[in-house]
Amino acid sequence: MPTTKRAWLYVTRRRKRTALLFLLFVVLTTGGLLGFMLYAASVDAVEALRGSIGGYLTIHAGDGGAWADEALLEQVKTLEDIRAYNGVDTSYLYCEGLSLVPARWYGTGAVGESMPRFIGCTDTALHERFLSSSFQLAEGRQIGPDDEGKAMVSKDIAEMNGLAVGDTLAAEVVPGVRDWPEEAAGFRIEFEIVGIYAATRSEPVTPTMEECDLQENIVFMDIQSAKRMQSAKSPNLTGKGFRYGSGIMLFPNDPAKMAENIERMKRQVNADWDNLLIFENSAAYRQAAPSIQRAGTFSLLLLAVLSAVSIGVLSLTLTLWTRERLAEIAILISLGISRRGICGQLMLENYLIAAPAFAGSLAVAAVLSGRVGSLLGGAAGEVTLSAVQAASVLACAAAAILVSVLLAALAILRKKPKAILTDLS
Amino acid sequence: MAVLTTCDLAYFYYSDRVIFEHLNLEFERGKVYVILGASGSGKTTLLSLLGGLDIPKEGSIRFDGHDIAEMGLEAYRRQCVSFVFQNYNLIEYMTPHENVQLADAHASTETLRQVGLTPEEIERNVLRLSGGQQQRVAIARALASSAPVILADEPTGNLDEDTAQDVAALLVERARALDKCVIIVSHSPKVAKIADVILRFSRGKVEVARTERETE
Repeated sequence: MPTTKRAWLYVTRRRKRTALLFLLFVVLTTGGLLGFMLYAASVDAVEALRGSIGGYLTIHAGDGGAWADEALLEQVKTLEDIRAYNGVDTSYLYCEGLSLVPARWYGTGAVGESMPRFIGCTDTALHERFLSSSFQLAEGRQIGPDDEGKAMVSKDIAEMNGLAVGDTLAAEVVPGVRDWPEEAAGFRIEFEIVGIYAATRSEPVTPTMEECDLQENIVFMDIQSAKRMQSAKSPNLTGKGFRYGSGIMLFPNDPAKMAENIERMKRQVNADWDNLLIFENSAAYRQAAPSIQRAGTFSLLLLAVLSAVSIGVLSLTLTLWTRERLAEIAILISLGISRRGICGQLMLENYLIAAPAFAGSLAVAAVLSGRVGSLLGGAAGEVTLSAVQAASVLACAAAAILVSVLLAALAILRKKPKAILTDLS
Repeated sequence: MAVLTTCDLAYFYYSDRVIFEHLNLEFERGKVYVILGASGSGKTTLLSLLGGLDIPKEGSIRFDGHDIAEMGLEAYRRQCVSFVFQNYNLIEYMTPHENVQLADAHASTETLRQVGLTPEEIERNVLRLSGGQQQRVAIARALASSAPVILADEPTGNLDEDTAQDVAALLVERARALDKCVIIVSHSPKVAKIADVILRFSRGKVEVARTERETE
């Protein structure tokens, strides 16, 4: 009788034992999957944390004539410690007929009534407003370093003016626009709206604030447009390198070591550091990171304990049950079935039960993952499992079964056939 | 020609407890051999050696002229011998038919019918059969195997007298019909009556006695 048939008969005839083993596999594998998911989510959360909540430094121009300019950016952005950067420059333009959230100039007909603040970014997603979540992308997309002639407006401006993603926003320099020389009047630029953002928190408004000071009246634009505008605004700077008037934001790989990052940067980059200002913004990260990292360590410990307990319980159970099959094994030996064949049968029996158990555990883990994530208060981020991770856990479970079965069978199969049959009688 | 031969066979525990030594025996197809002797005389030890379940301390066992140690004991047990045990040794979660298929995957139910089981009994779980019926299944499994040698260790030991007689007769009758060599270890004088050759074990020595049946 083939090994496969013997294994199938055992699994289908010993239903109670099969059901118990099935349940055991489901419980142990689900525990392993959840533990792995938590651990993976914690690792991802720590990584995500590094890219958010202010783990960055900003270089600004100081009083001594040094600028955070293109030359500096080209040097710092390639540093090993730096994983991302964002150059920022702010300007103002007049948008004829554009309604803004009203402030000081409302109803006066002054230039300021339709003069938004234009913030040029290498990567708008890395602007501090988005990093702190005071702005969120509501429609469309963010603006990146390869964009040209693109803009993002607030939801307020979009609704007030009937603007949508894909529409065109025209802006120009007219007399009275802030920061522009008279001779620049007539400069004109058009943007395609690619994104709409929404402010999540309100800011206090005072009677002296102008429209361009309100957060809802910010228009984000690409950095190429900002460079065009600077060339038009300050022709004497053309050829000397673009100046990031609002600073260069740098995101280190490890914001927890900000001071070290800054020292290393100063050593590696040739710049007039004495006349540049460096602002560190990692307080929020330093505050949140320990709890996230503790969650990660806890998850890893949980995973290790679960794995050890699983293998222990499985080995003990299979060893005890295999010992109870001494008679059966003795009979098979007397019939001339090889030890390899007997081991193969034991292995196959367990895998026949494990296969549907693994499928069941995947389903159970998927259902429980959301609850587990919320139990940690969201500290571990979104708890999910990729196909590769699931396959890894199940492969480990299959290996644990293999080891457990071999250990269980070893004690019996090492004996001489006569000894087994003697024990039997 | 003998199907099974022992050549100067010896077995002992340590150096001071000799079970037997210089044992030279021949077993032929179609004949029934009964081994008698007191407990501890070496009957079951000889059966274990003949069955490839143990290795002799000295000497060899030959099957059709080939040393079974060189054949490999697992292959020898699979192809050359089959067993009938005192306590039946059936796989509990299988039916009689499935138990027979352990010896021959293509075995039909014919052998089971020949040993007296009904079609309904053949597909019943073995634990729901009587002791006598279970031993019939064990005999059918041994007969279904292509192995030419059947080794039976007290096959009637757990049966009542009448059933024991029927089972022993059945084993012998079917084995002879298939020209198999049957070697039975037994305490029962009634079982000895059906033998062609009786081997008496006593104090490490074996006395071979041919019965009237064998000389016929």
